[in-house]
Amino acid sequence: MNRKWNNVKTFLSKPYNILLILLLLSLTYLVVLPLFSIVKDAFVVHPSEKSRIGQAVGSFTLYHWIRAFFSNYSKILIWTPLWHSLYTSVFTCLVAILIGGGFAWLVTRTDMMWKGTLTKLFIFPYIMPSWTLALAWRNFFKNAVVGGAPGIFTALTGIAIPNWFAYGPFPIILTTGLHYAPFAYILIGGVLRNMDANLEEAAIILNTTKARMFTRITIPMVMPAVMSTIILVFSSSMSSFAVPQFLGLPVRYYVLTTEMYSTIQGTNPGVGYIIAILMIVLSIIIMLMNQYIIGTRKSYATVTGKSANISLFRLGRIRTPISLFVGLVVMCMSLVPLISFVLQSLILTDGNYHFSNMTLDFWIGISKGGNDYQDKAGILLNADVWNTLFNSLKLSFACAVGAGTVGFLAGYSIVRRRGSLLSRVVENLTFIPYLIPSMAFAAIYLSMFSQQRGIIPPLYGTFTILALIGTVKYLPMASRSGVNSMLQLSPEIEEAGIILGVPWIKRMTRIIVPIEKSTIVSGYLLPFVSCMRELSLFVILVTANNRVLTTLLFFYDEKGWAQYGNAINLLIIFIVLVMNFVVERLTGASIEKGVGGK
Amino acid sequence: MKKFLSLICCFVMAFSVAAYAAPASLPDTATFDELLAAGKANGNKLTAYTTHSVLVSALEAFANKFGIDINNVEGIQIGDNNQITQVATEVASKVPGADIIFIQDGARTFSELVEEGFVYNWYNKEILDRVGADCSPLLVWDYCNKVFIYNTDYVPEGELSNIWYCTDPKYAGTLQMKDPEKEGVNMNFLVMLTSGENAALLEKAYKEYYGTDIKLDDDCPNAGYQWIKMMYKNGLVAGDSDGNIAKAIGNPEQEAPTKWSALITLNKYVKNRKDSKLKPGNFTLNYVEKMSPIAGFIYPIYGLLTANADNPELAKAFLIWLFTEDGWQGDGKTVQRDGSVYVGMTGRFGDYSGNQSLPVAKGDSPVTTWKKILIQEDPVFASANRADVEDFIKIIK
Repeated sequence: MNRKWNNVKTFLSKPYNILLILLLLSLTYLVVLPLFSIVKDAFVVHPSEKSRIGQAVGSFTLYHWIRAFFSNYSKILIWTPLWHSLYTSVFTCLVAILIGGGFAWLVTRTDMMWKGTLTKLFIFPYIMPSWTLALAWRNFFKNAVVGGAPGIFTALTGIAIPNWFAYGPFPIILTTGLHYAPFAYILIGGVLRNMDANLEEAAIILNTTKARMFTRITIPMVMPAVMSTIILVFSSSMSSFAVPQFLGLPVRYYVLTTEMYSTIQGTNPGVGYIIAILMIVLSIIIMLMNQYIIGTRKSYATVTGKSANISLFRLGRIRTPISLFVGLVVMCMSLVPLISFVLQSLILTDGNYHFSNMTLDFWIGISKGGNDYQDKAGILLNADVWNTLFNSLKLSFACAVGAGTVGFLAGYSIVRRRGSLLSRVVENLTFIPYLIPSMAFAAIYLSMFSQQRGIIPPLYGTFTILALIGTVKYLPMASRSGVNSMLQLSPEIEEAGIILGVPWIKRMTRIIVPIEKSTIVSGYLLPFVSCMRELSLFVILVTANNRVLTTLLFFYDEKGWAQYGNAINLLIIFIVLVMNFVVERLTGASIEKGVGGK
Repeated sequence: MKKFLSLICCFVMAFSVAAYAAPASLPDTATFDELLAAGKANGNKLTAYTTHSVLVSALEAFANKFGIDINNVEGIQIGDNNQITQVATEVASKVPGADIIFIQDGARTFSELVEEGFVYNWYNKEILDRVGADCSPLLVWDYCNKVFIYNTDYVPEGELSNIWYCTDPKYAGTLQMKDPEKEGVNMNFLVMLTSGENAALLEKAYKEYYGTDIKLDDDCPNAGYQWIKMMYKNGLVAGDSDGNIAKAIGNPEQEAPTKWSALITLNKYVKNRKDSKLKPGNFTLNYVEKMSPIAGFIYPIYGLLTANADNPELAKAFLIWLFTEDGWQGDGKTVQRDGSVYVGMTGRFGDYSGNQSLPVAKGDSPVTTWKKILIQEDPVFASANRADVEDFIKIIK
């Protein structure tokens, strides 16, 4: 008995064990319980299904499952959207890895020109909401075939855009892939940047060819980062909602998320919950595959305190052409979309880009008192927009502090107990929110927290529920970043402090935090930026009193008020860029420096 | 069997309507003055959710006109789907939310909010005197219409005279409307086409257009379903907003001239036509006034009280005021929050008060005229048959 008690005391004397237990309890409540809730929702009758099913609301039914998998509707509701989701997600990964990984290699391992500027611009698509690239695509390439005036490209060239180019899988893959390419760059670039130069130096001494060095040293070193990128991008792409909503729906190209939105918002939400479950199962399979491939021991400590001077690959004669080409691509994915937003926010009549058709009314126009959208005050003079902006900033700050702090502590405690069951469970728990599609997650929280739960009052309509769901949803980002950085940090550094009797708090604040400063700040920045551009997580939880900028943007877009929508879009991007700049100035860390610092 | 079940459903729904519409025969005896005084004494904030932007201005004008603190009222524009989710959740979880809602998807509102007891239909004698039969089953605040418009450069006047043109291969891929799966009122229109009465009208019109009796496909119970199927199969372009569709249809400089037509709100048509005084209109548009058997549809925006209203008295007073001339088009002096004068529906095409004695925009026709040539939404029928039609469309599109 005494021995057991001693074991418990020893266990609890380690701060990371206490952290792991606290995380286990809170994440069970905030992540696991909701999963049960969604399963329940797939077996009951919802108010909109009464007439369809002919049973009382809340009663048990198998109707949704039969309809989803064993009826004439199965193909439309499940199989076709599933195929579309898998197809677009796989190719999105490919685009993100090729472009992001390729760019990371060019920046870190070659003598390409204008690295600083290009890196800053390359990160733009990630900073911008995922749907802004889709909106930019629509601004440029929309055609009259699916409604609305033709886009900028047709207006300038007179060339009509075919449907397959304007809408459907092609633009979905490209815009989503480009959005996540910076993700690949951050993760792969972090590893490439911090690689132990001794390995390559040894290879050079042994007269190894560059191709062999690339395949036998560089690729194996970045493989964990590539796999991390694949899992993050694949999961993100599978749960991407806004892009397929804007670019798929016009040609009725449904993926799982848009089908889920359509059914949850429609008259058969039960099937929507089944789609959500299906998506979660798929994501778990991917995660397990990832763990199987990488394994727990196949990670590499790249921050060792040893030499990190890496030799650059000389591009030689192709240096200028490659730099120009990369510059062109980066401009197309960063600045050109911004130009389209500026143009679209200025024009009075769609499709007419003549100077005489432009006005600043949608920015600084004074309210004309009428009831048409042209009569409303410009966004910079509109009190509603300012209130919404303040709410967005407040929410982003709350989520960043919540997710960043918990994520870092989770990363620390998971790595320190790496290999133990508790650590594995908590690590998986912190990652589960990433696997749950945002909209499904929001739907679960809506049903879970719209009534009193023990001592927790109904949270629906409050700021708290938004901050809570944002914190939990962005936790994987921050904890992943925490785990990756802690894996790179050799434990000897902290152990030195332990030997000298330095208390835990002091070890954290004086040793670990300063070393991992840029990663920790990234862990705060990523949730902040994500929250500023989040739509699907908040769109059904936001109420009139706590609207955020992105839901206002969605609202304007739904109303067809494209000018205000584009102006708000620019406002969001501007704020995020300013925040990024301020944090960079204050701490020296920023998103583009990613994991491991510059 | 399906028809039998539909019949049973209709019977059950009709019974439910009778139950919910019970207050229809007994209007509230409270007057505007009494409710206004009680609402002020109550002191709680009045919150309105609305699909129509005018009501946000109207609420501010109402507060200013009757000496209510402007910060104690809030009008919030929310689309139908979000409004249904929000109201149902707020009322069920007893958290503060709307006192009154203005919503247009009659089918879902009826089954998901009214039948569940989250909102209820209310009117008093003053409203009954002004609105009459449109007080029930759900009180109609405003009627909106959607009509067939076309590009006058490419479609001669009078060419689109029968609704079956939408199914004619000659017009394949040229018809646009806002995606019925995104906009409830459009779906309700399709549901209404499947009613026995409207299906019979469509059957007759089919013969007029094609010269033969209609032959129904196996999956089409009547001519309404057949029209929907043929219309989708003929390449319906499901757009994202009526405004954008109007611009696409009326674009005078089209690269590939097409016989574009669309079913959209009259309001968006007027704003975008070439002679419009309202920016940004410059499009070659016209609308069809005569079409067999119907030239479009008319749908209501309903005004309903929520079961957890914080200030139901003020909400009721506001509702009564909306049916007055001042509430509908302003008195020329009451200002809104931003200082501009409230003009309400003045000069607005395509909106018609439930109080049919109130004026319509100059040049527009009264709602009675429109009702003769357009299909009207019946929330009870639409509610009972919505799922069937949605499922049907899922399969055939």
